[in-house]
Amino acid sequence: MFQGSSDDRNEVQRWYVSIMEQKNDCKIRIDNLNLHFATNHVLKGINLNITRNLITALIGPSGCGKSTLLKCLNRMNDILSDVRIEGQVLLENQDIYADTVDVSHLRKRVGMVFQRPVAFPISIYENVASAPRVHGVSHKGTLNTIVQASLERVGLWDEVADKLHKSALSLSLGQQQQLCIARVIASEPEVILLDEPCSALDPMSTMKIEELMRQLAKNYTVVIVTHSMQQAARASDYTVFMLGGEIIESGPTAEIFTSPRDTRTEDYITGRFR
Amino acid sequence: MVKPRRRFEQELAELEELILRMGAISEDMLSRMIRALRERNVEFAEDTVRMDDQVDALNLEIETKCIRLIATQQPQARDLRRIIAALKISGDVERIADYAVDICLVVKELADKPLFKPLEDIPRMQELVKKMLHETLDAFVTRDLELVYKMIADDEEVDTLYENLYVELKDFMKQDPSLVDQAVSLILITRYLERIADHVTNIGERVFYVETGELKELHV
Repeated sequence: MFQGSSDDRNEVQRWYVSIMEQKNDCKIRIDNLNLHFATNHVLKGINLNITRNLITALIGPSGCGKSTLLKCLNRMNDILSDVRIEGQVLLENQDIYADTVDVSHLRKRVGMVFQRPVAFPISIYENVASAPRVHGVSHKGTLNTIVQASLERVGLWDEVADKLHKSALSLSLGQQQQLCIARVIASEPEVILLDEPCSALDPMSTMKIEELMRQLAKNYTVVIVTHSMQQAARASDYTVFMLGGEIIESGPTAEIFTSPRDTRTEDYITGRFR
Repeated sequence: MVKPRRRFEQELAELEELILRMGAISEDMLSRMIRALRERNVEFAEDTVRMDDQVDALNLEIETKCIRLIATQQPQARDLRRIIAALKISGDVERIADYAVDICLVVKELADKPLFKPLEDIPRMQELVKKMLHETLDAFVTRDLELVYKMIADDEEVDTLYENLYVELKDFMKQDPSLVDQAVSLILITRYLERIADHVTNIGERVFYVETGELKELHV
């Protein structure tokens, strides 16, 4: 009869209720964030709450500032010269730009996955184990457990269990991206940032990564930048539409894609943007 | 292994469950409606009328869900057909419940006097219509088109019963004008039952569409 069990359907119900009710369960709060690259004002007065255990998508045309905003969430913009950042980004109510913050520890808490899979030219096992090693885990048994659990969580374990010591570059691009997500998970983050994680992948791998994001959102807060509106619609719970360094509109994805309030959002998502 | 679109599959299954829940309430209304008529029980008729609120609420919930799935999930092929069918079916079930309400309102008018003839064909029509609805919604989830073909045959029987009752009740009125009020009420009930059966054939046509991709009138 049904393709899903009643547990599955309850899960959908719980998820939907969580979208409607968790509006105030804030994992990251961005307060009046401004970012300048030299004389270029890239992010303008950004205010945004990112909800725990949901998937938030940042969308908008090229150059709207969505990737820059994403990188502000784990201070990836710090490495660029001539950057000036004002305002606050609060992770669990603590300002990540405070002087006392250890940036390496911050990036452990807020992991990142990039556009092209960045698999290291070492074994599959070492790709995942490298993350906990950096954070001080050296016990072989513990590392084995972390590697297996991380690969299981991204759905890659069955495919690679018998070739853990082969080069990660032998994997398909989609598998490499799953591996990169496993590496992030191995650091036990709280937030996972994904910067156009499927733009180098084929449609089937894309669908797998989207489903994986859905699984991950049960344990982590997920923020994704995507230039595919369809992907934001399919895979996210909240959508934030940006234009010219500003947030034009944000809200539950179903609302943004059925009844956007701003005509600029409507023009963008219906492909009439000029 | 990550199974692609698992969540979407769950949502489609939930959509079907909402349709079944809506159908079950409407079937229940049809059963209660005939009991109210048999016993000419006004209270029972009024309780049945109130059940329509649940059907209306489910109809809105299903419509909202379908709009959301179309807007966000880019459904294609069978997935698209399932969502469009759910949208149309929920509209038909909503109308069926409305007709059950209309019948209950007629039952209230009939309640104060004994019927001039025993109820035989109307309960037979009601039974057939209820079975048609049940089997067609079953076909929606089991994908069994045999049930749809059976329903179309039942609909012909409903049409025949309706035509016969219409002629019979008209004759009663001609012979004895004092029966007009009651006979008109009974004709209305048979007419509503016949309309319900037509909505069930619409549902069957949507089930046929989901399974074959072909949109066509199945009603003979």
